[in-house]
Amino acid sequence: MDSTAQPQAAARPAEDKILMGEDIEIYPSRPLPDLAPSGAQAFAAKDRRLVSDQFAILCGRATVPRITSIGSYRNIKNPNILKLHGAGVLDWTPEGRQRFALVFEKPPARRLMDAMGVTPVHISEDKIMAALIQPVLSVLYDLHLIDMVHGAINSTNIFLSGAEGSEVAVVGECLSGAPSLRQHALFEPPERAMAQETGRGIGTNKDDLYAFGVCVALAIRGENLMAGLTQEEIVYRKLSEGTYSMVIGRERMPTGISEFLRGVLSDDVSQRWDIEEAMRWLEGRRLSPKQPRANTRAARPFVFRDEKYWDLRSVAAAFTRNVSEAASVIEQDQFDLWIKRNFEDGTLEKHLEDIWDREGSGNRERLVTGISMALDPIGPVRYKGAALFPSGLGNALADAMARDDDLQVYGEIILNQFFPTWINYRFEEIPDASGQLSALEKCRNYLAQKMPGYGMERVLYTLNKECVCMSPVVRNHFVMSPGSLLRALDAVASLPGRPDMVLDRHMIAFISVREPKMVDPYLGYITSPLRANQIIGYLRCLSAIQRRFETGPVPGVSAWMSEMALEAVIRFNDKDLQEEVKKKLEAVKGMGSIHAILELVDDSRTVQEDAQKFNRARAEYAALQSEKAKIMRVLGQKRYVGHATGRQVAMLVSAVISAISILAYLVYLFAGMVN
Amino acid sequence: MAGAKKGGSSPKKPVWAIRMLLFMLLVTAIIFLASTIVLIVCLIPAIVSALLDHHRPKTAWITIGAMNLAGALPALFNLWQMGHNKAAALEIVTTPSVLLVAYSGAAVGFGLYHYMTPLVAGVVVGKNRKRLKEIEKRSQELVRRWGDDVK
Repeated sequence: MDSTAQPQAAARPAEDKILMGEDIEIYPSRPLPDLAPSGAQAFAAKDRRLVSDQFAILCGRATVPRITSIGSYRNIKNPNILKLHGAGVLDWTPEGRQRFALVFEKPPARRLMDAMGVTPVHISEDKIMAALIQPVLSVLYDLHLIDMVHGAINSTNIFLSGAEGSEVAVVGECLSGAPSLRQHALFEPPERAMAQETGRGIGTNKDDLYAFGVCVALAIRGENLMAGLTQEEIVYRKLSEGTYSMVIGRERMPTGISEFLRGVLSDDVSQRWDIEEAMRWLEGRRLSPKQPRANTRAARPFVFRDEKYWDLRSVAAAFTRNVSEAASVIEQDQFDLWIKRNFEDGTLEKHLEDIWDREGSGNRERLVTGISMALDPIGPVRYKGAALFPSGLGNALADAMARDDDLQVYGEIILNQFFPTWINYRFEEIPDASGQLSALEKCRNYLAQKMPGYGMERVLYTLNKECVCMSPVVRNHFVMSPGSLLRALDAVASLPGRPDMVLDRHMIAFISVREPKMVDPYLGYITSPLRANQIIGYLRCLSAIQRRFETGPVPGVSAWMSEMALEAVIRFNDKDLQEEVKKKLEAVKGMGSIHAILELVDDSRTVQEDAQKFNRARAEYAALQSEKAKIMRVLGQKRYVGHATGRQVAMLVSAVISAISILAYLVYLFAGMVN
Repeated sequence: MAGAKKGGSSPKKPVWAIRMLLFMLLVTAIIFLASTIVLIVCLIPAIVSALLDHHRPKTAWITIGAMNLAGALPALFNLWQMGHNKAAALEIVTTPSVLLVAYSGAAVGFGLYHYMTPLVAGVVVGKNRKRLKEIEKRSQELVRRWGDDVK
């Protein structure tokens, strides 16, 4: 994936165009705002190898483009979806920052609906199969075959090619943002529509089909169903009337189309058609009719804030919008009675009792969130204004971080374990429920750890595989891998006001999740309270990245780390060695090799020898001090110093002289006697 | 108690040996009474120095005694030439020149003891001071190279 993620070639600024690779030109002076998805920009582009026109979508970090799906998307051989010509990171010189660019075939000028607020194109019932349903279902089926969800099926993202009267639909792109990120509530099933845009998660092909069903209904009716309604009102109407009734209204549909719409717009997820069923319907097989509504209505309404509510999901939504009043109502017997008399649902009553036992005497927000999950187990987790599914947490965090929003609420959602409760309510229905529970438990543990590499940053990168590094230090770069992080740091290194430490919490967590071997073995050093150890940790990590990703020389980072490494030389005890290493560091400063710096300050043999020599020096110093103390003690008794030795020497000298004298006398005596 | 017993039994041997030696010396001194008289008189400085030396180990009497002995040796040979009898011994020990030679030897020994000891002590002090300087220099070098942690 990284080959796609890296700039396909160094983007070179020209007079009025920026190159992607060898052949694709993007024209910054020719913006195409009509083709720009929300949160992104679009510009005219041209693939020199082709006759047709292209356009480029430039994405920022907040929209979380679906980088890991680019390869799969490129392999789709279907004329009814926008063809992808190129993707990669560009140095977008007009803004002086990197952007991720996706270059697509330029779509036809006409769309099913020009904008969310305008009237959609009317397609007659006899033409809608060939013009819209067949082409789009073929695209959705192709996406299903590669296990991909589109996530951006709506009337503004379906283009119409061909002359008027013989149009054929072309589905727009879905790579420039996370699935469902830009979907209007009208095109989302009610439970997903209740979630915030960033917290809906990836969804399934049933959600794509649901969105497409709404598009079909709009095209047949030729009316804008959103006119005059807020997204909240649309959700309310879907819950109270059912989606099918809401989008069809009093329109009379042909039997076949009606069957399709009942299938894909079913509000009961288990009854809603998947792509296999839709394709069977397309082939002409009759399928079992679907119930138009899924919500069980109460015999008598529940009155809350002067509004009458007939179903549990609407009550749950109303409760979470008015927490303090909901908490007061929940504490009254009236609510319990309404539940028991109208629904006779033992599981629901047990869930409510459990929540009351757990949260009854605690925080009202937690209580209402728990109650809302029990009332509407397929709806999102709603807590303190946030509404999201477990699979949407990663995107929600990415968006909040990109906007510098407060992350407290997401932390509380994880720590209060709302998601495990939500999953346990629907354990059998959720694919890989145990895997999700395990991931969420890991995230809870990450939050409990405050050291770099953990915390909310790690949760983000663990849950969001598409997310680029969100560090504010590299905000002008599009960092998709540790290798591109190193290159971004190389650019940051030469800027004034670069940070004190080369890796921040975001970067460490990013590397640790994406390439654990690059940083995890060195986390002990990085989190050490000693700056010298921290620097060694950074050097080891960056050196590993440089080798693993073959980034080539990084002179900026090299110079930066050389300066930092001056502080790391204090790990050597030998001052002479420190000076020698400092000189060598100065010499390798601009070479661009982090390994060269690391070898100077972290060579295991040098470190070991230094430690051994230091131990010997300590022993020698101690011995010298001991000897000094002994001599001082002796010299302190100055009067007697050396006297014993002196007396012994005198004794010896005297003995020797005496012996010589006696010998000489005896020789003299015996010589006289002989004579 | 066992240790005390062991400790108490070991000094008996030297005491016994010393007593034995003293006894044999006494016997020898009585047998060679003339030589004993000469030696006692000639070696008075050595005997006095042995009694007055309070330093341990006692080296003064050996230093003085060795030279004193060298000075007393002519008197001893003289005695043996004169027949080794009590009269000769008394004659010799009353001869001033004999005593002068013997005591001069002792004086030389005393001189050696008196001057050689401080001389050697001075050399020892100087050597220690030099070593102290070397230690200080090496310690400073170690601290310079390895920092205060080496202490």
